[in-house]
Amino acid sequence: MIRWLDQIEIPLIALIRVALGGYFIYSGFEKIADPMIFLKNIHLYGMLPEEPPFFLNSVAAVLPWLEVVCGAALVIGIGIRGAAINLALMLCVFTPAILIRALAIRAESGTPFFEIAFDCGCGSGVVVTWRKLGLNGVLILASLLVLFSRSRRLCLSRLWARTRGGPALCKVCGRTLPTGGVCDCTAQVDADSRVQEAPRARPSRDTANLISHR
Amino acid sequence: MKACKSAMIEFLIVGVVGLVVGYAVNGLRASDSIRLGRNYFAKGGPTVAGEPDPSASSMAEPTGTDPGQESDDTPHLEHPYQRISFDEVVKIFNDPATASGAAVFVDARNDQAFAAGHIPGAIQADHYRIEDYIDAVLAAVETADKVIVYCNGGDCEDSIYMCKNLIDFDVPYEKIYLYGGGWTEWESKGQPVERNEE
Repeated sequence: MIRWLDQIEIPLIALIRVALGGYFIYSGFEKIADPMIFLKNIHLYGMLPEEPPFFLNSVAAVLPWLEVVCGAALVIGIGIRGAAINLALMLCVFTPAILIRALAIRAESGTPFFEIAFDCGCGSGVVVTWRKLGLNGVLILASLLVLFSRSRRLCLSRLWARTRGGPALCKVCGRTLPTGGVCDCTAQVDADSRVQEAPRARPSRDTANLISHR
Repeated sequence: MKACKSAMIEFLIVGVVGLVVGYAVNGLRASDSIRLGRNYFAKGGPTVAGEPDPSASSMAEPTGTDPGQESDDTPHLEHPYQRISFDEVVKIFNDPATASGAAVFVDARNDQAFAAGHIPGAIQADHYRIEDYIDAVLAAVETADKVIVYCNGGDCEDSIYMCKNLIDFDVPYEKIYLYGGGWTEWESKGQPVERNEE
């Protein structure tokens, strides 16, 4: 499915990537605006020891900026896979923590799960827990989609290579290919750097299936 | 395998850049920076005869100036400081001696919460930026007999950390009272409020 998304006309993966990056830039700056509130919130999870305080304080000081850097990398289109891995890991740590805390609140106060709301430290203030968990699930999926996609549309890395007058890049997977070379993502690069789908099984005769992409 | 290796290298590079930027900005921030070596969540408390013990965290016996007073309604909040009930706080607030400094209210919340509403006459002392507030607090509590510390109430523990700050700055333990109901209870029971105009 990811391969299909990479090759369709609409740059859907690129749009998802930019939206994901934009969300984390916004979320990161919300935390950066008042780092003490973020510190208090992550302390409430009880995941990190209070002594020595360096670890808890470091997470509070650094995590928002890591989100911003990863978000910027996704928006600009550099280090996409690295940024996606970082974000997916953060989400995979905090999402279960939010769930555990919500279950603890339910056990303590008897509040029905779907009515539980608290400030999870995500920068949005008090949020309804089940909605936040759903949103985080979508963000994890988006991160994995961006991670495993080979599309490099709307990427600075590709634009940079073009500007330098380097060899043509495959529009689908972004790798540098010699003219006339065949990419294993089934695309073929012609002299004008336009991506063409590779010929079918009998390349010496079958040229009718060439499809050109803009 | 080659793709995995390059992805891991990207992961490390992006991670290291994020860490460096985070530490650098935190170090360069004039205000609002987090001091990496400071324990912001120490509850502290006394040992014997009023000597401060930063590691103590046992529950204190409920206290009140008069027997039969309504007990503190936050018994689940563990702290080693003297507890004071809503009725006792109201009594102290309405005492004419309070206006002349016999008792001081210390609000342990941040600027935004304090400006939105606080007990009239209370001094703000944001525990997380204590350096900016401690001088004014110490000047006010020096001549006071009672220092009543409060925050939002409920599960908020900022007042506990503020009490620890006061102990660290040599305010006698016997003077310090922690109002567990906090701002939420004070306001909800229709008591006078003061707001800072923007």
